Amino acid sequence: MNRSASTLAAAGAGLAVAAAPFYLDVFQIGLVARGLVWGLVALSVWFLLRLLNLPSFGHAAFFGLGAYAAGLAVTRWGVDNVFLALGIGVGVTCAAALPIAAVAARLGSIGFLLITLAFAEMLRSLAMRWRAVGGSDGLTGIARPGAGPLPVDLAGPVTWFYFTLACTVLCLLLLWAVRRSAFGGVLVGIRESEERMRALGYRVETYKAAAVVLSAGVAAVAGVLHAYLIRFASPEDLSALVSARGLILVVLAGSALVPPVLVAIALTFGEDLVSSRTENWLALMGLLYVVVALSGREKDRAPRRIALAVRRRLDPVPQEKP
Amino acid sequence: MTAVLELDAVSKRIGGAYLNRDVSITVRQGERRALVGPNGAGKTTLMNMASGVLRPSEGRVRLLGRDVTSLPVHRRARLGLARTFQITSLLPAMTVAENLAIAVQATSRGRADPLRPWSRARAVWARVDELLERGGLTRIRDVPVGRLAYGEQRRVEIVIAVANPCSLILLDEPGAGLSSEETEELLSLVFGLDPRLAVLFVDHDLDLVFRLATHVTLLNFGEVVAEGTPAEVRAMPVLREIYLEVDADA
Repeated sequence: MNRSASTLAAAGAGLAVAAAPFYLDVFQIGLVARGLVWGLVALSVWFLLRLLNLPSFGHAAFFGLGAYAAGLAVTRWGVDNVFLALGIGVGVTCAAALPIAAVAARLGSIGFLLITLAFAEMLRSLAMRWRAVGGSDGLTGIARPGAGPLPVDLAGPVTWFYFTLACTVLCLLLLWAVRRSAFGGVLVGIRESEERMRALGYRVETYKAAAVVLSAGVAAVAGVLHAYLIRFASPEDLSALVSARGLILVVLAGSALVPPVLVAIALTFGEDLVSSRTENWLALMGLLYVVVALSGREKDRAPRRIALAVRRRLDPVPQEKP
Repeated sequence: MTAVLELDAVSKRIGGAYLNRDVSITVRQGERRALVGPNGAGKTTLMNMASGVLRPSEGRVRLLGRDVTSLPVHRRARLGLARTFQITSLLPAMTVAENLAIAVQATSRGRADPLRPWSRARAVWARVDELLERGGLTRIRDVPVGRLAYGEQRRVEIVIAVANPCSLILLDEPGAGLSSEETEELLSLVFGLDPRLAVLFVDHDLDLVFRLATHVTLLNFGEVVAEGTPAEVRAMPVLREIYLEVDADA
């Protein structure tokens, strides 16, 4: 697909998502909102993986921190403004991400993957045992806060959907801007050769750490939105499954910026569809991931390669052109 | 003339073995000092200690009179030390222009601007085009560096290294993998930049070295065994002793 065609496709899909409340029922609107949340997680993972080649297996830490901060804000700290809650969620998460980033930025990709996983698991076991934040039961009774200056009631599914959509689009635009900025250029340079960047006078670790914190902030937005969407935050939000899903979405979606969000929505719908037919839906999902993983190291072209592989199986004799 | 780089009795020890032992070298403004010696003589180790990749076990490193022994690579780079690597080290997925832009903006304030489009950093791109022109690279401006021929990559690397004002450049085997003519062309590119620029370079082509360098330091087994102008070093019997085998083999 060339550039303008893919832009057109992304715009069409974006429009379809924005118009969702006009042709979907309340339950399905909730599904799209959930898909958008996963899209944000995927975006935050995408940023580190594509610009810096750093695979994070610990974004659950940032997602969960955002969710817990959002939950605590309304249940314990008496916050009744969604923007303030978002600020708290992102602020707390970025503050916690700073030391993690400082350590992780010194490592290469495998080390980065392991250390982020370790931090996420540490936070999960902390949340499991800490009674003050609900322990293994999690935080219940999270009500959606007011919309501050906006004249809307976020308790309704449609208004919440549009709020989620707005947050997603803003994060998307932010990451898009960062990618084409000088800072984004430096990050790509670091991905290409840390040694060269040091020799040019760049303090590589600082840039990597800043990128990790930025990515953590986006994951925190997802966490906040998720907690208010399902009105619940639990240690499961900090589990490796969350991190894995973010990483898988990015792998499925390829290297462009918008597809991770669309894939996240599609997958959320797919999961719902499959899980209403069979109890073993997780196995089916697993199968899909395996197929994608097997269909080549060149993840960018995963969908096309799957199609090619399937066609080869169905049609083993190569067709000769007349 | 002012000393730009001073290696003051530096040694590098790993376990009980010395990679470099008690090496003192001074590179002055405008000097083109060649570092020669057989394989394993400690030339690259010495370069790495000068640039900050390795820290000497003993001795001091001074840059423009300032003690930089404990400064990391990026800080020394900002003080005016440029370098190329023995194995070409560029940013392969990025174009020649982008590679240069990264280098040019390394000292500018906008280098970490996370929101303004990079393409709008006009000062940076104007300087990039100027450098492309001077290095004869305009033709390959938008080609990803990874797709360039090897000789072109080495040329890009040199232009990148000197993209910012620097007082010293370290060239570790700029001619590796190139013909003598190509190496000479590359070195003349560097030497023609600024008469005050101090150059410390490693090369195996002795003819070339004696022709182009203003000073020569001969290393063997990690120690300095001879030093002087090309004519002086060429006349020393120790050079013949060290290189006899190499020449006999060739």
